[in-house]
Amino acid sequence: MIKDRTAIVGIAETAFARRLEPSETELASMAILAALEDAGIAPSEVDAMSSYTMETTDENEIASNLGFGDIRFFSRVPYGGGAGCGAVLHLAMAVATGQANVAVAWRSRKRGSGPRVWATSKDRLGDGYKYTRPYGLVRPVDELAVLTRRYMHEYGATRDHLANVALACRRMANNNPRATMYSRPLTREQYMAARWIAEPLCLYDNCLETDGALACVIVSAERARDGRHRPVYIHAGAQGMSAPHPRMMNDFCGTPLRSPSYAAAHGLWLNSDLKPGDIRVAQIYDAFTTMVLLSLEAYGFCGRGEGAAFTENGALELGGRLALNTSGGSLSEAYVHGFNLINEGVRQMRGTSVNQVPGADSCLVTSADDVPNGALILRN
Amino acid sequence: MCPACHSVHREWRELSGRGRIWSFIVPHPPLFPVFNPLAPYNVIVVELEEAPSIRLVGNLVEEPAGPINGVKAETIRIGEPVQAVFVPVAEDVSLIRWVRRR
Repeated sequence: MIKDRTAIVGIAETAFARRLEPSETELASMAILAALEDAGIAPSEVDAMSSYTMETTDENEIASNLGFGDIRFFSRVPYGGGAGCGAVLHLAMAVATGQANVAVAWRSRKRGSGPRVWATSKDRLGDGYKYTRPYGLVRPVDELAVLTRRYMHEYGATRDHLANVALACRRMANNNPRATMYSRPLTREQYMAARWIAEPLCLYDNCLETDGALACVIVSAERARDGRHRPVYIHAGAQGMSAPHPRMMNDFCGTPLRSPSYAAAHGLWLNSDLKPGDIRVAQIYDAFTTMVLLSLEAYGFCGRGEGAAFTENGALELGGRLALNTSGGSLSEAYVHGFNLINEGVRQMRGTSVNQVPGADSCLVTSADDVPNGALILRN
Repeated sequence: MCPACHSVHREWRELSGRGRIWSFIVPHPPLFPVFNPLAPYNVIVVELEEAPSIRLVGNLVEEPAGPINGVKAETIRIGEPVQAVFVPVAEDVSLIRWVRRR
């Protein structure tokens, strides 16, 4: 059991922008160094590293750049935006079991100025995409649009519910000087009039495209108590792949609306002293607005099909039932495969968020709903 | 491998080609260059009559050789009965399209 045995003691990020000059390697190094400075720990003490399989810089290059000591644990987690919480969990397990003492997790990505992954598709496909892309279903947003239309059909959700998510994140970003959309308010009228990307999803149902990097530092709870900041304990964590393991299309299962988050949620709550009803603030992966509705259900904040209605009456706003993505999230702060959600969870537990939830003593952080993923519960 | 019996033996089975629309979308640019001039077009996901948990992606067309932007998206409904048709697009590639079944 890793419960409360490790803590996040340092966080940092680079600037976020559509285009940054430094390379992904440089951005990663800058973010990790700043997170170690935030923690007050020398790079030479780092002995564990974890990131995403999509990360383009090898561990030994980072370690060499930053002057790390001997590394005793390293791992990477697959599935793009599903990876972030899993990477932190791996390090929490490594530190809690004595495999390592000072661990860093990070993600660096130039998705703002770099290519869209789907646009680099080959002419001939041998994988599962051969069943979808030749028909013009080519982008992640198209896949989410399929689920969204079906979800609306089954449960009566409307575009107003999706707008609730987009607008809640935007209002958080409007208080966050680091956020890409800091000075750009969004109204419901603007949302409804926005251009389509893949009907029924419009521009504002989609996350940003960002260059940037983030990192965090994990040590034992004992060491964390002597740190510079209030310790943010990793209370529980889990990774998840839900049986019968649906792919987005051509799967052999009841419904793709039962996402991998159901498995992650099961493992998470099993090892937690908390229940969904105890959580007042959450950082829920929001590459697309629909993911938030599905995750609210999977993590038990409401029943199946009730995620849309959950968003009503300002539930996701500051002062609502569950303050959502208080830095602005992927929709309005930055899209760096969800790592900004982890760092914002830490700020909420430190009490230093620009949208601080008064008295918050726990925070849920999740990774991408529709792929094998993970989740964390942080507490202070 | 079959998750039920763990056999690796595979065979083709002929089905009726009938199904119902499970969901549909209307993509807009930016898309692959070949699709941009066709947008907005429809993409439908069809659950098969004989095996509803198997869903296939395709396009709803007025007639087998018709364009994928020929059917007005506003008229498409989840649950509509459709029939598979096959359209050769290269010497060794055929794509599945769907026409309405009345």
